[in-house]
Amino acid sequence: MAGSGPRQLVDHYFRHESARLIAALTRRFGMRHLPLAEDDVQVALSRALASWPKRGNPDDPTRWLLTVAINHVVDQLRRESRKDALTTEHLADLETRSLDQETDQLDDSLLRLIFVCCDPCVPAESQLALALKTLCGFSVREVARALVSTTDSIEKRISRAKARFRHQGLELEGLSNEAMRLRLSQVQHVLYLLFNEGYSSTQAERIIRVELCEEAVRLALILAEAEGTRGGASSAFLALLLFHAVRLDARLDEGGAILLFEEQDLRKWDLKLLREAYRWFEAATSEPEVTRYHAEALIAAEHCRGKLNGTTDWSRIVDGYALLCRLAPSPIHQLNQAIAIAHLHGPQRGLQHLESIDSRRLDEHYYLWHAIRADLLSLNGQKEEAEPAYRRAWDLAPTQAEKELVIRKLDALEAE
Amino acid sequence: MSKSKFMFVYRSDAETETIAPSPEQMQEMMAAWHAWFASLGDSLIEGGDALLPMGLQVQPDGTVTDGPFIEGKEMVGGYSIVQADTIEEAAEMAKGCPMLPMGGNVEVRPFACLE
Repeated sequence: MAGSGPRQLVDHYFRHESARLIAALTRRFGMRHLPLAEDDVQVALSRALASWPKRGNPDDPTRWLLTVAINHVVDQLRRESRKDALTTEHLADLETRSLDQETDQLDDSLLRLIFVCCDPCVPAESQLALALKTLCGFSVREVARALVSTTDSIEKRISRAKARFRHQGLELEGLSNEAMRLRLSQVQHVLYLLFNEGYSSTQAERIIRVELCEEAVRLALILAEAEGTRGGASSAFLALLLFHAVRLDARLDEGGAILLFEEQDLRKWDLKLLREAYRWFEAATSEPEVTRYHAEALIAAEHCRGKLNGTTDWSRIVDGYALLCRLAPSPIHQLNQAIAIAHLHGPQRGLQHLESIDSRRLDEHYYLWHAIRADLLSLNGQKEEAEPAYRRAWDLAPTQAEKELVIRKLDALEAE
Repeated sequence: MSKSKFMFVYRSDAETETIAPSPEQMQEMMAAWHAWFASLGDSLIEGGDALLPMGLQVQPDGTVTDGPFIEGKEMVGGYSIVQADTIEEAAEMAKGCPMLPMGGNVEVRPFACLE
């Protein structure tokens, strides 16, 4: 057998290595060369594919890939350098930088790239597409499949983001730890969207939904472990994603229909992930800082504990929502608090809490506002009022799976 | 009777490679290559190597021209060396090559030497 034999690479090695290599190249050559960096990482990976199986994997695969990719970028920049003085400077600088420095910095470079790609200058509709392509190593077709869109639309969204980078002059090298701390919540926001895309989508195939959640968790773990960004906020955020990821497979039944939390099968929970979630939650609560993700993780932790023990401490959940409403005021959080209050003090108190919410926007757009109101009305014995609320929820439910969930409740109401 | 040596010459159609595979697909292809080589066992003498598309060509008059070396649309992308009792057996082995579903082909060539 050739070389060192078929040492298998870990799952998604190429995909994740792609992100680290792009980070190293854009750090060295500048964000304006992001497209070039992406192309040349692709070249390095395809060269590895052609060579490694025949010769055996190199001793240091990352270094091998980085060397090929850097040489390729340099070749291309040399060709351009005649007409571009800046590039000539870059090339001169290149000779003085060692590859060791680059390989030692790979994780730090990726951390920086996460911040640049999640910068608010990136248009909202481009955020997830860019994150999946650049930070997660998805191809444009894979991004299109994951976001249930077309390759044309994804290409456009990504190129709009890259155009912004050229305007804004954001660079990986210029980011200080302090700047990263200040912008942590913006990054978390994008990762949250990414996770939710996987968690809530009922359109994308199961395997893709799982991948999106895994990618969000992977990036959140980088934030939680890196020197510049670790601490209470990052630990709480990671714990929150993990508490939800635990239930990923239990959320839908075989046919893809949404199961309510109380209907979910505990045997489908990932208990190994749950232990990780509690571990990060403890780390988060041992820090003085309290963020909205602390509150959300606390609520998720209590739900998980309750399901495992058979009794839920609803007062803790009510408190968790009160904290969340204080740190991140939103009628949707108040709505969820009403459910917890109904569990703790009965449906009537839950309905009273609903009345205190400014529900104008929810009333027009949010199916859960009507569905939850209907649930509480039904529990309170007000069936005549519950029925039209369920019907309104059905009208507004955005997906087939959600519509079916509402129908199921409506049927149960009529059967009583 | 001792076995004979054969070279697998891997060729791919330059035109079918217009849609670049994603990193994930490349990793899957890599796993397929490893699995194929593992299935060949002792028949695989040398995994060989890949050839890059660029290069130079020296002409009879001594002039040197640039590659790439595409005969028709096909380009040699690499080689491996195997042993088998007959060329048919070697060709049978080549049927497992992961390049075939991607539109590539494998040329099976006997070595001239007798061992």
